[in-house]
Amino acid sequence: MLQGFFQIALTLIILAVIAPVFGKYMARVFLKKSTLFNRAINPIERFIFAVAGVRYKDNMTGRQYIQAILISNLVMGVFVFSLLMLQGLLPLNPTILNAPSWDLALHTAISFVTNTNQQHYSGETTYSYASQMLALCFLMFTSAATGLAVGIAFIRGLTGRLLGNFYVDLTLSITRILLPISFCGALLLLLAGVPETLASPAIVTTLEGTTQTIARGPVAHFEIIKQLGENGGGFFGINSAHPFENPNTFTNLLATITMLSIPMSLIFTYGIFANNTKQAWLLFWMVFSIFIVLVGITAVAEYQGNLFVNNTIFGGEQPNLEGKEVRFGWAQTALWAVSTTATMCGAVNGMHDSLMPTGGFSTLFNMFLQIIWGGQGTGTAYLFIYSILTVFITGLMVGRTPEFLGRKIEKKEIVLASLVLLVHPIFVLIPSAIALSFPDTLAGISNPGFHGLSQVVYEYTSASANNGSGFEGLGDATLWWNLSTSISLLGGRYIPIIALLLLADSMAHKQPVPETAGTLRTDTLLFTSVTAGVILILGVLTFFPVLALGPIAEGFQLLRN
Amino acid sequence: MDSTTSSPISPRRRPTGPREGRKHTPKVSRKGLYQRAIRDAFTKLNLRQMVKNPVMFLVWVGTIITALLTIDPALFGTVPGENLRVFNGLITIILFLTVLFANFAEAVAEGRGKAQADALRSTKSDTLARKLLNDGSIQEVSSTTLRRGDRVQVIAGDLIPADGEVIAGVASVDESAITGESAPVLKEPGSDVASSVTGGTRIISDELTIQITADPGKGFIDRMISLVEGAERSKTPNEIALTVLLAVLTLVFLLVIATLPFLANYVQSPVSVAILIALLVALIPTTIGGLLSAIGIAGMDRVAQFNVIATSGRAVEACGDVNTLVLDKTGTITLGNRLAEEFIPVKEHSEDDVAKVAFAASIFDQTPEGKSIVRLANKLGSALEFDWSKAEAVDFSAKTRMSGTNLPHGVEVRKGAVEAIKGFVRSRNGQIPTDLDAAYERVSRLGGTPLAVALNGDIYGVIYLKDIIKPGIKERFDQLRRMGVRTIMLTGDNQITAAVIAQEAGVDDFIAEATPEDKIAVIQREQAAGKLVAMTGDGTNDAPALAQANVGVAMNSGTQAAKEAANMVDLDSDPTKLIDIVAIGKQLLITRGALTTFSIANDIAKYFAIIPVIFTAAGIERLNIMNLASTQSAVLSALIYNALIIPALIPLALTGVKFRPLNANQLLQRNILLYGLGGVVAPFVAIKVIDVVIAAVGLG
Amino acid sequence: MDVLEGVSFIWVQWRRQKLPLQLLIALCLNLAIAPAVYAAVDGVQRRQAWAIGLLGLVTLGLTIYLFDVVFRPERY
Repeated sequence: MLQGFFQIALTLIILAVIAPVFGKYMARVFLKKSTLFNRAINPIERFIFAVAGVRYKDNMTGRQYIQAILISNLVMGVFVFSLLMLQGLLPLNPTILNAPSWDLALHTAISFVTNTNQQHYSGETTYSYASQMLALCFLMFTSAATGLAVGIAFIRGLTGRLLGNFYVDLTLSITRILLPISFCGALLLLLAGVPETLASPAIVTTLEGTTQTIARGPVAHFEIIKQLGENGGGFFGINSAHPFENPNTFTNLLATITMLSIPMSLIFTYGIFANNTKQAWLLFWMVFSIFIVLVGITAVAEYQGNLFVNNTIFGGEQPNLEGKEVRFGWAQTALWAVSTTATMCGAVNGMHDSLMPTGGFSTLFNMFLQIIWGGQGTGTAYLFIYSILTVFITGLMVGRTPEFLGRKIEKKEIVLASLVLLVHPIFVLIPSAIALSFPDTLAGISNPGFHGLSQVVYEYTSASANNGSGFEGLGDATLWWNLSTSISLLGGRYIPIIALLLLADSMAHKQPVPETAGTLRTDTLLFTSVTAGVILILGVLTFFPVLALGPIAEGFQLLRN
Repeated sequence: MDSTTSSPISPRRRPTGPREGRKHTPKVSRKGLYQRAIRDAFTKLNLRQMVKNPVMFLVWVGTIITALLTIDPALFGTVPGENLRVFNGLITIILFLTVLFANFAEAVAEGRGKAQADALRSTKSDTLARKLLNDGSIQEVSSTTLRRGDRVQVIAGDLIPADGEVIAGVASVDESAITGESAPVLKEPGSDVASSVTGGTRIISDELTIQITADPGKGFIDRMISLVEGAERSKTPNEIALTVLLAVLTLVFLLVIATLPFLANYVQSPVSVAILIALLVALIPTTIGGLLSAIGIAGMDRVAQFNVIATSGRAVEACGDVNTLVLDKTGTITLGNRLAEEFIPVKEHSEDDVAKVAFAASIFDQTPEGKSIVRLANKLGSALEFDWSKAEAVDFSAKTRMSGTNLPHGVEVRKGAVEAIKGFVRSRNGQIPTDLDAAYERVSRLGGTPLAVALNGDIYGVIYLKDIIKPGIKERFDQLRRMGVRTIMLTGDNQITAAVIAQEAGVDDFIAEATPEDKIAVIQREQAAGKLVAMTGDGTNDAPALAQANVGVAMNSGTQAAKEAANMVDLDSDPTKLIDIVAIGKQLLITRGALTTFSIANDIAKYFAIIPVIFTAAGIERLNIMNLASTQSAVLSALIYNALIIPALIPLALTGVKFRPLNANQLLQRNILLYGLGGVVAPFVAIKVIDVVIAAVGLG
Repeated sequence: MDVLEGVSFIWVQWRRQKLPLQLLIALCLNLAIAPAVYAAVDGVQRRQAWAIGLLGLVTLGLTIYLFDVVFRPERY
């Protein structure tokens, strides 16, 4: 037990050390200050901008920024969809895979372009090396960079700056953050035993004398951006539980750290943009505490295991190891499960379906709130959406028009901030209700009852939150699932992005109000605690019935047995 | 808490100051208020009115559906259980009461406003006015037909038919109908302050010719009436933003509840439509939704009770945001009248000489200062040494900055600002005494106003006019500072005097030797830094500044131009009242925020009351931490609490959350404890108690 | 003549009073929805299916109404 908690603590300590430094680095990148790589990257970037015809200094309005995102994403989506449909004709297809069904290809394209990487397929048997490398891995970089750009543009607007240029932000995100780190990370993974090859699957004779096909491929580079960019789409069907994706505890540690690092650090990036590191630290610790609690309850529940099974079968204490890789054990799987749903990464190193109900609760809870670190760029932005709502409710209580960072929160801001609150209920609850009304024809649930409800709700939540992990156990490669989750994917991605950027634009153009004794300071412990309260109450209020009928009911059911 | 913070600025404090013992009119009759409010609560059930309040509209639609379910419990499918009709009937009644209570809250607030308006209207009966036609003849017309620009004649005993400007005649007017000040006021043309008259006041002597300045229905009283009645009430920006937030929360819960039966059916724990509606109503923010408009109307009413006319709710709300107050020294920070305290001789002159000359220079001066100089001179034994009928008055003007008397035989005596007198003496080829500056400085350092006196080319000395700082003003500025409001004092005094007064009164900044242009400049400078500025003013030359300020409060005694430019008019002409209006504005916002927080915090307990017991098959009874008796009693208790909390909070909504002059963080801490934590805990207790009662009665 | 006047009266009132019009549209829509509910749900009576269809439409109407409040709060 101690060892498990030590592993968790060590990972978190490393992250808490990295985050402020990394956050500072990202702030320097997007504030266009000189960084270590300047000399090497500047010419490359200048070349890219020249070829693409992007003028480095042009600032975009909120509308233009949104337009740029939508158009570029649409173009990339269409490109990838075509590539997937044509994979049978393209090279780098050693296993001679044909085009997937149109709805699966559509779902895959949308899922990757929205930084979700929800997979209704197994990579090794569905997509060729060309599709994985040129289509999916390409989107892993651009979708992560899009999210990062939105986050940065939002922070810029919030702190009274112009929003910047989407194409520049997109490029900088890739050339200065994602690509260099991925390169080093991929090398480390290679050293640790992750394959990177274009050779066709190995066919080996086992000890019993039968032949076995062992899938392999260009995994290492795919793996690192999968984690770093909060993408989560595995090269293989079972994702990071696969020994080629995540062979040992070192790669597991590296993967956990890379997946948490950007969303954690962005809070500090904000701190530097806002010139208020105190607030950044407070927000960091606030999210960190919620995160620790969720990791804690999940880990303890996994450690205790299923009492019913333990009593009847093992006759003693035994952690819950169902659906887990023994090389990671309960602690690393629990930490990973909570981290991957918290960060909207969505990679898994164990079956979430087999987690104890507490784990189901934590993972769902993470995706409902979307701010316990949250997605690449967008998570930090959502955090400030909640701050703005808190400022509005509590700010009235100090007898002034509420203001955040000296900018008044008025009708327009409230409309846009509330839109973000509405996205989840619309794109999670409505399709869940439809799917559960026709459990046999539509849902394809493997475990009926409370757990089945969790499976369905989890799938839509994962889509709408752009997480991409699956509760699994769901027959999800059907037309219904592909299309209905596609709607949740798109709605969950672009509506908040539009709202965020319009909000940032409106904040950027507000006349700042000077701070007086009558101004509600947002960088105090009191305000941060109140924010935590508002986040929990708003999140819990919306999803309490679902949680009650899903994991909570399941938990009580287990206790009764 | 220290002793200074425990003395709150209570907006219900009656204005005090120089006009002690005022009789507060108009009298507001509150008779029959509640009966009328109950009647109005029913008439407001009209769908067209209900649709204006999204939260309550949903409850109203829910009531209709549960009413149908009372008639036929199996309307949407067979529901297991006994006494469904009684249960659904009870839910219907409670929901109906919830809507009614919300309507009642609004009706009471409106009723109080109407009572205020009726009292005002009584002063404004339709009178006959003598309209002066262009050919000079007089036509009797109804006062409501008078237009802007018309001229009317009023004689002693008449009611003044409409707001206007005196263009001829001198008369005394009883303005007690609107100001509560019983002493009549002298009105004459041309002067800044005394030339404007208000419709509904009565002329008690002589006669006046008045040029009407307001079209019918646009006068100050009309504006005030429509404002306190809520007839023209348009939502303020903060109210609109809050409406959006409440609508979004309502929408979220509507989606949650609308999708819930599908989830519940899947886990074989179906829930009846009546219970779903009950859950929905319990979750949507009915408390703040029901009280929101009442808070706004009551806020305007409070302003009106304070004898201030605001032209819009927006202006009152803006008061809460004010960062800077620009105040005139005289009348606001100091008592209006400076009194002569001492004569300080210069050169070889004696104190008696100075007194004599000052006396001569002030003999025609009717200002309080002038009279006090005469009094002091008399006390020192000065007497008139010339034939005053042959003397000639030289009036004060802003340009010369001095006044005096031309005595027979070409003798000129003058008193005035030291610089002005120096100029005068130089123009008469006189010498400037060397010890004049010392005397000037001595007076200034005492915070007094030095006036030099001269006879022809000879400066005799300096009169020390003592300024008296209003008692208690320093404490009020302290409170403002804690609220984050800076005060800037404007004064015509010299630098030294201004600095001394500023220090004694505790203002944050001052502008000495200020001209009217300086006022605008100060306001613009502050606004450029993103601040909201409030100011008071009365003179014509204040009008541009009043218009420039975010909140401009004109004195009722002020000119028509000033009143037009301002967004509020203080009928009592008490400049310190601005401080109280700031408190009212803040109180308005605090009340809204507090009730919103309370309303949302309440939901936790309601969830814990309802969710565990309605999903009987889900086996989550253990979440029933309140140990409520049964499904029916739990749902009913939550709903009853939800309904009763509205009337319970009506008094708070009407009087407003008590405002304390604390800084923002202290306020937040206080209010979040009270309304946030209180809002989490209170319903747990209340719902449990109601449940025990219901179980005892046997309804559950 | 009376018929013509009646028609024009109804036409004018329709434009002025939205509620009857909305109710009529809801009832018409329900002609399509109610049979679907009847077919989809086991053990439901025709009358109940009809009521459920209307309840769904009322919910939808309220949702649209609330969206309108969110985007155009000044009108309320």
